[in-house]
Amino acid sequence: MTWRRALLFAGLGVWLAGVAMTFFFLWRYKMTPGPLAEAPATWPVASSIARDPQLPNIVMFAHPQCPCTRASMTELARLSDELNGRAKIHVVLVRPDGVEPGFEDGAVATRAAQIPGVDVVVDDGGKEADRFGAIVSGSTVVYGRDGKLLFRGGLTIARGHEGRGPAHDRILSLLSNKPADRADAPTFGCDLADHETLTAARVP
Amino acid sequence: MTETIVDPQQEAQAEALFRERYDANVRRTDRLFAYLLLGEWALALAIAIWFSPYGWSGKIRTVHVHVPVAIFLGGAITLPPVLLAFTRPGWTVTRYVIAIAQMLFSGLLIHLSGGRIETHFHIFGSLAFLAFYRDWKVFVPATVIVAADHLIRQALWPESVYGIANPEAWRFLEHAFWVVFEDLFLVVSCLIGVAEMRKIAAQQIAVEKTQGAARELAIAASIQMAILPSEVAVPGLEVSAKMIATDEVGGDYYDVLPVADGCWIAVGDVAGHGFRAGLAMLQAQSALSALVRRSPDARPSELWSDLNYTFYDNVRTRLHNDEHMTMSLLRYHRDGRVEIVGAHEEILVWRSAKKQVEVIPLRGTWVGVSRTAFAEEQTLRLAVGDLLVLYTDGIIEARDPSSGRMLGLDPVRDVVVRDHANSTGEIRDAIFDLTTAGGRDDDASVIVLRYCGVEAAAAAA
Repeated sequence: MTWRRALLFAGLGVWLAGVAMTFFFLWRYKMTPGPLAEAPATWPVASSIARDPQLPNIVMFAHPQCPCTRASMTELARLSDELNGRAKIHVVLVRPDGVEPGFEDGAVATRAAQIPGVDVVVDDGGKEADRFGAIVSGSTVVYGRDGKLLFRGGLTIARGHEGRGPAHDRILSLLSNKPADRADAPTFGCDLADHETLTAARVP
Repeated sequence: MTETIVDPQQEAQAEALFRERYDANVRRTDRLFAYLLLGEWALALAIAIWFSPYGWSGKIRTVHVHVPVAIFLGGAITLPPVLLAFTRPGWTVTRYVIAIAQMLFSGLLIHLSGGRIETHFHIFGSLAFLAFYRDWKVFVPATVIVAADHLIRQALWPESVYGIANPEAWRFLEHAFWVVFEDLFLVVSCLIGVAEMRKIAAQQIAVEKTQGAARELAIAASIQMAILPSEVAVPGLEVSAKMIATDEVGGDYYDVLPVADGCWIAVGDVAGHGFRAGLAMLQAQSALSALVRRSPDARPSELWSDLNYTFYDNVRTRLHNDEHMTMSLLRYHRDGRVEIVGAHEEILVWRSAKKQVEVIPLRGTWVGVSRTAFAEEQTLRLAVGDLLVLYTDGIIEARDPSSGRMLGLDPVRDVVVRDHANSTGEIRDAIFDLTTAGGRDDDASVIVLRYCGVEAAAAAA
């Protein structure tokens, strides 16, 4: 092997290793979840979201402009298909204070509205998100007919990545009164509130 | 039908032509993929900017990670193979790097599109595009990249591949299987494509060789026809002659060589026909022409002997071939005397005074069979209005269309009897007409001569 050839193969090796490492970090970023929603054990009494007492209620909190949440909406639509009316689904579009009018409109709202039987509400200032402890867009909480918390977490397999994840089976099992391996799942998405707002909200 | 090449030189030419075309195809495909990769890079950037320009934290937005990923990772995947495609097209390494890059782009586009199932079709489309190379080995690095991606992610983040946290260890094989499934058909199509390219190259070389040989034969035929006299002015004689070859190049020979008090007339037929027979005929013509110029007054038997020696030496000793020929050699004098020597078809003589045809057989050995030749010399005298008719076996061995039998001498004789008053050209053509209906298997020549008398000869001289 000539030194030129050796140099070529070494260069290609470096190239392939560099690209592979970048993919690795990209996957790691996409697979790093946000904090789980610290949802109350029972449906908050103060919530203005219209809970259906006849059915289990599923609530997804979404940042209207978060591109990752489009994948969450796709998975919520998939879950809605699988449930086939056995649960009431709500999408809460969290609208931070101080944003332009129409902030809540966009691809996320459009996709949410396309899911059959879904109630879409706008949460001004993120009050409902606070009540349910949702921090990350895509956070989903599931309450039973009795108003008790069954599940909390995200529906996607990675940040902004479509694909039927473990949350689907867990939710379906729990809603069928069957045991699930876990009652939560990692949540991937943008922050519903900026750091300053979150910090201020947590100050007693 | 398979084209079989037995000629090693032709086989090497076909292989060289195949290599040239294969290489051209690979280079063309390298360039095609270079443009495709650049297009995919632009597409990745467009997807990132259009679908995920910003990441959000409440009301604060920042550039989404997809944008720098599309720019820098996309560029890192694109630029090395594009560089190789334009600076080292045709290299084996170039297409392997392109195959790897194409698969990496599938991964990048799947990321940027949010894992849409439709984007996964990019993998299968890319494999199909790689088949343009007609090199089955490009599927190896491409498939290894797909399998490695699944294997590594199964180990680190199984949910990202299968949607469940604890998949079976063999699960990646299921995904890789569908890639290998497509690979199998593409590999077969590549192998068939290469075999087809080889076959086409072999056929083209064979066609070119045939066309080349046909061109050479056409040139040889034109030389041969140009060297044969059609109308010759000999004092005291009206002469018409013609040869029609079965192949492009014939083995028949005739000549009329005027000399001071008459001329030499020769009619012959080299055994066989085609290029070698034509070459032998040209040698006989050259030798006789030279001998007549050197010794115009020689005895026909002497010239016959010298011609035989020259022909034998050229064909047998030098060329190591085995052609030989039958020939009639006649020396005509203005006073009507004709000396004949040779071993060939019988000569027809129309006697105008008796209104009948005489048939004169020749006795001798063929030219070129041995170094020494025997030929009995005969002499006849022509009267005014007499005709001499010489021909080759292509005339009398032509098939009668009704019976399928050979024509024989009788119809020729009948033509001479019937048309003796016509011009020699008309008699010659009438003899040829006998053979057109049934078709000839061999070259055919006819010479018709009419003696016009001493006065006419003197006047013409």
